[in-house]
Amino acid sequence: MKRRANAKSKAQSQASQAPTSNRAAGIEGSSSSLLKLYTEETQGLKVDPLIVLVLAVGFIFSVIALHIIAKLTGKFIS
Amino acid sequence: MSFRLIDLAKPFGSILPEIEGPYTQLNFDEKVVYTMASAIIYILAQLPLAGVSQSAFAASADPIYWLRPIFAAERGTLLEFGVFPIISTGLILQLLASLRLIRVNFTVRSERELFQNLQKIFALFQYFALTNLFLLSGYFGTGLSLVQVILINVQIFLAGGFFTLISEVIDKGYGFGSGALTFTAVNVATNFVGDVIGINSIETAPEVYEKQGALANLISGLGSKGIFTAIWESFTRTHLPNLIIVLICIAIVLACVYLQNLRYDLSIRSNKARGVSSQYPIKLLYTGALPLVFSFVLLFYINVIAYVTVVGIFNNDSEQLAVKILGHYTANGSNFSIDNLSLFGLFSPASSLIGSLLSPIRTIVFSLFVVYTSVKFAQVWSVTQGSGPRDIAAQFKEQGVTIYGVRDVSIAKYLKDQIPTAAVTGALCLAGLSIAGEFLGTNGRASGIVVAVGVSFSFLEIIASDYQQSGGSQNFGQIFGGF
Repeated sequence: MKRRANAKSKAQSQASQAPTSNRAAGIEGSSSSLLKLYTEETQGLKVDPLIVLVLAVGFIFSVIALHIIAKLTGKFIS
Repeated sequence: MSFRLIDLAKPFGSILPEIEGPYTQLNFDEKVVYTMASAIIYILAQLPLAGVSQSAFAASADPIYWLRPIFAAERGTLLEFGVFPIISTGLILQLLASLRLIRVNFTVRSERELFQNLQKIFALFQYFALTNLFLLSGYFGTGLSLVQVILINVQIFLAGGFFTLISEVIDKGYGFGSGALTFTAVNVATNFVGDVIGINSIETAPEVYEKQGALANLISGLGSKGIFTAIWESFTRTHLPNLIIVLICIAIVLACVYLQNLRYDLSIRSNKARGVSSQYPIKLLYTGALPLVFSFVLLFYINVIAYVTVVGIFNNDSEQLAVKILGHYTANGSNFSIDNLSLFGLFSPASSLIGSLLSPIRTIVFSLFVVYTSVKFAQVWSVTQGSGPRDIAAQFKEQGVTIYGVRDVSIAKYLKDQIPTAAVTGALCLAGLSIAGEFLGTNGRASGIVVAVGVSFSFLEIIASDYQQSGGSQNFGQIFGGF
């Protein structure tokens, strides 16, 4: 009985000591004064950062193009 | 095994785009270039939404105008909601995880990955949800065609997706510090310059054009209106930033810089070498400006709920009982606010000093809300994010360092007295500063500035340490290192 109680209290104290954030577990993450969301390498669709930046600029230009098309054809504007 | 929130992210694991981390540590110059490029793209994206008719849009008013600066949101542009979805998901999910309300085992890599994917999915979902809630409430005009609805959705969602990824680029170590907060700092800085010397003309009344910048307005007025009228008008105009607001903003910047430099030095000494002692600073703003950001995240949610229920469901009809209780929106220029005494009206600041004085209950409830949520957040955040008392005590032990007059075993306990106290006091100071700014009628600019200065100081620390490591051999390093 006593051993079981000991094991239980040990498990509890371990649970209360488990890290509460990335940084507490010793890995890059939010610090006390800066918020970071995406610091972990996951198994997703890997993209190069430069490509993302270029695509973002491309997206912005496509919206500009949309504006011009809308102006010329008078579509999409009520 | 019971259900866990992070399991929601499992099916999306392989299709979510993901930035490839740098193979080696980037040097200082490369980081500066990436950060600047991201910032420029963010400013470029302040482009009007295609497919929204300007006349219909001008008829609707902006219910979250005073929440925009802090989340870098610009009305009617691709950045309609700015980085709010990213910041709010990050803060709320990480806070819930550190309170152990979401079970995540941070020592296991696969769980951390799931948690990160969950944050990404929630951010994207919020862009989608907010857009459609605003569409349904008639924010983008009424009677939109299906094509327009789809266009608006696609533009805001894609822009949101891109900035989620770009903030990931910065988070992953291509830039300095935190991505989403970088955008806030950049946006606040550019808007402040615009508010002071912006020379673009804005139609304030039919056939009346005024310069956006307060100083630009004064100078152009001196030529056309006569000295005294020009000076009087540049201090008192209400629809655009006036010189009083600019002065308040400058005062807040100075106050923030002062608060940033306050710290409590702990005298520490080495266990191994005799006579080696040093200082370990505990900053007053231990949690930076994050507590204030958290308060504004909650206020944003409350105000979106208010807008959707009052305008979306009850049509803002002042005859209805529900609208009388919850609040009735009145348009003031392009600003939409609840000014009568009502439930939701309590959770927004008045738009001017006179307004704050005339509605004391609102001012008090709003202030108490900001202070309470900031303080509660600081209490939790300061001890759970890897620089809490226990973590620092462990760090001291590892490096063979103790605090003067404190026994080794009680260092954690000693720090437990110091750190949360500093964090709470700091959060209280920043909340007070922001409330004072809102009380004087800066419409969210004060809070934006408090956050931007806080973030900039965190960056400055990172830049300074980066600079020391790279030894100042880099081009940009030489420019920034001079400070």
